[in-house]
Amino acid sequence: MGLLLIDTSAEVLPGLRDIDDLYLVRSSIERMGDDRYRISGYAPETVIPELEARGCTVQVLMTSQDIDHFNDDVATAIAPPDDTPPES
Amino acid sequence: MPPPYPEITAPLRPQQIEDALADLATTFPTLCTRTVFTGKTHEGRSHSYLKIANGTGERPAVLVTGGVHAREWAPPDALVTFARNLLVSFQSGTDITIPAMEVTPLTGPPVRYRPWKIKASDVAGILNKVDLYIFPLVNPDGREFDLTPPIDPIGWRKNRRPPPPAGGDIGVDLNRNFNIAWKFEDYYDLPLYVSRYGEEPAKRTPVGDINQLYRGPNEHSEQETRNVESLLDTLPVHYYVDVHMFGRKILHSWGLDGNGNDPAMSFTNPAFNNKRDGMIAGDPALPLGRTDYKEYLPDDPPHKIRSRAVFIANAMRDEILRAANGGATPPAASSPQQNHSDYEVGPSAFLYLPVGGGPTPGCADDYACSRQFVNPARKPIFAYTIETGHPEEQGFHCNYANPPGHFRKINREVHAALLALLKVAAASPLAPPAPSPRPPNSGPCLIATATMGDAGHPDVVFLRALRDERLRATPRGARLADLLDRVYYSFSPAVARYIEGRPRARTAVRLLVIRPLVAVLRRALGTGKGGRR
Ligand SMILES: [Zn+2]
Repeated sequence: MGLLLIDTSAEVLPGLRDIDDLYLVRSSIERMGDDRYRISGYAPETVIPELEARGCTVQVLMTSQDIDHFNDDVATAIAPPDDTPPES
Repeated sequence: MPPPYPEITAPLRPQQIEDALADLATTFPTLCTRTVFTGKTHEGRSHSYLKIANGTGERPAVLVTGGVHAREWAPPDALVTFARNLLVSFQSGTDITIPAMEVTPLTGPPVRYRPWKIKASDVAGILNKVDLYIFPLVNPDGREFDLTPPIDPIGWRKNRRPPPPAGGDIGVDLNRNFNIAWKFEDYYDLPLYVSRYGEEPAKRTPVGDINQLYRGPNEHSEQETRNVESLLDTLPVHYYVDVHMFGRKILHSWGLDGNGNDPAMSFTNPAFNNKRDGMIAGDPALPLGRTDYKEYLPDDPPHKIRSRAVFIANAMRDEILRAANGGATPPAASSPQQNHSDYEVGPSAFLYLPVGGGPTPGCADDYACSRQFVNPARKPIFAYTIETGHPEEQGFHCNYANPPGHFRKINREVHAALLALLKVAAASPLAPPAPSPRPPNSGPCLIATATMGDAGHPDVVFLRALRDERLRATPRGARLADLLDRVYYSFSPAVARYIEGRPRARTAVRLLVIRPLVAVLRRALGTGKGGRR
């Protein structure tokens, strides 16, 4: 799963929720003027051609690999759960 | 743990948040009390909230919640930081300093922000007048799950209610579980709603809940929901903010439908059951000849709930912008600081409209708003959902490392929004029946005197007369209150002090603010010759 920024038109936007594997974050919707909108979503990069075929412009904010690396870093940065025995 | 408190550099686990709240109550026993809810979550966690106040008696209460949705990392941590900062500032008499920061959005180069201070006098003014309740983590089970590796890229939204014996998915979306139009098939004309928006506003079963919007088996079936409801039911809350992620939005009531003037059009009126359209006025999908349903939210005196709700939302947005520029003024238009800190203000109900989605039932902010109609003595109640964070700040799972500084930035924005709201709460005592008078030399009169340089100037006399009328709590006085507040809150006595010794600033304020204001007021109020009491 990557984090995508999708620029599209008012006409195309409502149909995007039908795309399998695209998790749109609806609260991220931004009006860009002239019936244009920007929204973000989580999706595997394989979804990008489908989005582009619908006339969307897609910016990959984080690749799937970026997110995996980030999550690995967080896992080491957060405190251990209380019930985890200390490592010997 | 005595202050200074370390900066939070990774999302706090639920137990750390509980420990932090307990620690604050121990460290600041005269200012801060912690209450642990008796009910436990599905996984057996107990959770708690803080009351922060200096003083007793009937005072307006402000309730702030966070962490309703598990994967939204920043709000609980920002609320813990906010509580710590307020308490340290009040106790020590020092300003809260949010240091300069360099924040790197995913979309471009780093942006530098100046340091920003919350004055100790502002903190004191707030805690001396307001009871502040902070419930930073409503959904600890969900957060613990979300923070347990392997961390999911999209994250977990709901709580951790076990699936029913017959099968299904884990969890309830707490922000569809509140006892306000929870049974949306009764509240809305559901066939019309579905024909317009293509789907129901929440999920009725936990099966195939890919969008994670399961409303739960009953209204307020979840302990987490009931905890928030209990605070809204029992405390004199006039201001409620639920902090979420993400999208830089400040959303005001209602979330159920557009706002209307007809008291009959209310969620309390069963005559409208199965008849509410859930559509914005003028929606072409509204059948011909059918009256658009609008949920009642009065705008009449003395509270002017509808317009003041927007006014306060704008005050929060403006304070976020000023904080992005170090405090005194907003950043220059189209500067990076402005572009990356500009929150959009709008009604909750139509947030999802461009994406094809409709209004939402069962939400915390609407439950808060609804209390003033269930019990009119509770008026006014102003309820907000703030969507902090942004895709360029990594969405739900913002980065706490520095750089890129996403959490730092969101934390500053939460501080700014809450400061603005709390200042409004502190300046507008809501004890019935009449608004309490401000000090004689406050508000526009002070500004006007400073700009005109003469307390006897006709414009100053005019404004003073209006202020006095406002204080008499007449119907016209209530109308004036709103007009004058618009000006007052965009200024402050500090501004008056500043311009006093600066002739050019005085001239600018006189020409750009006071004269046009007086002209508008004279026209609107038909007191062209006035200025006399
Ligand atoms: Zn949320």
